[in-house]
Amino acid sequence: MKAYLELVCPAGTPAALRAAVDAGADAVYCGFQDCTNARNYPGLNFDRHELKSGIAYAHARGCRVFVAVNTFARAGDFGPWQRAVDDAAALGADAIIVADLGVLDYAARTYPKLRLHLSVQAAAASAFAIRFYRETFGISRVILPRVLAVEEIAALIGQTDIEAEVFAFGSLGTMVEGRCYLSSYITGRSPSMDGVCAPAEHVSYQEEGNCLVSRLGEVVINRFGPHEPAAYPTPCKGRYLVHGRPIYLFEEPIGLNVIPLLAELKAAGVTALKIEGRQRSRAYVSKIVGTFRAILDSLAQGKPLPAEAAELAGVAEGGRETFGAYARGWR
Amino acid sequence: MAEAEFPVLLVSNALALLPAPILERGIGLLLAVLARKHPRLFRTLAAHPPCAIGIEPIDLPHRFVLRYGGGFPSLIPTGTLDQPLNARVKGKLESLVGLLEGRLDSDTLFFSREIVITGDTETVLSLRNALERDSVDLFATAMALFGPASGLVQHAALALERRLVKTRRRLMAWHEALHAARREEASVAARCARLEAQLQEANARLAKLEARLRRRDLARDLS
Repeated sequence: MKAYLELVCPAGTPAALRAAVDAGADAVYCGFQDCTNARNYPGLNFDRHELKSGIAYAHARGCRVFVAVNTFARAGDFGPWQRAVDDAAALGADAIIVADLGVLDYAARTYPKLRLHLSVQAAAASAFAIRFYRETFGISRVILPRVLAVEEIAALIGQTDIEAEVFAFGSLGTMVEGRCYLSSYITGRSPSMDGVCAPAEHVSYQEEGNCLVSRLGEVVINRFGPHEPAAYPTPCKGRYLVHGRPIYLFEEPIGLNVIPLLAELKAAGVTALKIEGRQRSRAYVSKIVGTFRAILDSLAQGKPLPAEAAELAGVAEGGRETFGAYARGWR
Repeated sequence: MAEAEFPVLLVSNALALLPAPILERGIGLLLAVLARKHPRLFRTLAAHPPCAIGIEPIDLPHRFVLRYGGGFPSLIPTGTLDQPLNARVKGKLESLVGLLEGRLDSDTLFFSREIVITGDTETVLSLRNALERDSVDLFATAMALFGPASGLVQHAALALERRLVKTRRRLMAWHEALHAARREEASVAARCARLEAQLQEANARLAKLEARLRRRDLARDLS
């Protein structure tokens, strides 16, 4: 059966990698236990031995492994990024996901046969940018920023004729990836430089009366009423007092789910769907990947969407789902 | 031993009955078996800076304090959680065990407020991620404590759990039926009250009509 769209799934731990492979992922993406990837949370990610075992497990089952080396290298300290590229190549990764120009240049020169995927952190949202990355570094695929409408994606793919991967499900960043400094402003650490948005050591939740209050450092991010769904303490989805009224300034806690748009995305020329969530559990990975596998297989056979498609809302942040910029463009 | 569903009703009923010292002894044995089966998990916990996490199953009379970092971990039952803690995790026993075993997604439970995590998020996140790496089967581990009789005990425990589940379903059905009857009773009472009010209104109007008739008769007699 010809794949409808390639399914690229998250793995924050070796257990999650096995769960994703077993649930039917076409490819799994993961990172090392350091600042070189954009999900650098305590206890998450792979050491070199775990990655070697994980790649062997995935390859034995026909699944590819992409290694994210997608933060921006610190000035005067290129070592961790160089080692990450070297080790990913040596361990047999099928591709590395990169954003930094220096890391791209190093990888392209040193490992010309290693596939390079341009990370969403590079925020390449124009044909000029994508062509530049392809012509200069030979990237094989671009992971498009979550700021584009479906018709904009179709136009970009038409103009660049490159493999495009788009986010299909999971937590939704409302800022332009790779250029957001809200977390850095509050905590001194950011996803782009340190691999963490709202780093855990700065996060606290407290019960105050019958409310749950989330803080990032000293900043109150949200105050949830007794029956209100809770959310991550990310600054872009905070509820702030504006003229004395608590409102969501940028975006409400909500999760991305493009299941109803899959046919449009395929028609737009998209190659692969990315499931967000390396910080989520193996139970989450298993459920989401299994559901998407069933959906993509049904669509490939021209069948209607299976019943599982309706069961994912409960796992979304805030208990609600959106098409994000795909339907309305970026605001 | 084959993987089996965790018998949450049986365990919560048994735990509610056990006095804290016996519970503490049982947990100590369980931790020793878990340490043998999951050495990597226990190495990770030992390497963590010393910390204390309060565990609050809302459907049990017991609270627990989990201490780890720098040595062998402990899980001590306690009546209250008023000692200094790095963080607290609160939820139904079923949710807490599901998290420990990695069967449930912690973020989903957190979003829906089925579990509440307060305090130092980094400590809880590190613990969650350490548990994620190992597939802990709490029920199978507990059964292993019974040695050669473990198969028999597991069989009996699961049979008892099925009975408890059936009984609870029956009780819930009765409870619902009782509520339905009460709702019906309430609707009859409300209808009676409405009819009573209408009757009183009709009586008042009748009294007014009678008074008007009496006044008209009196006026006619006088003329």
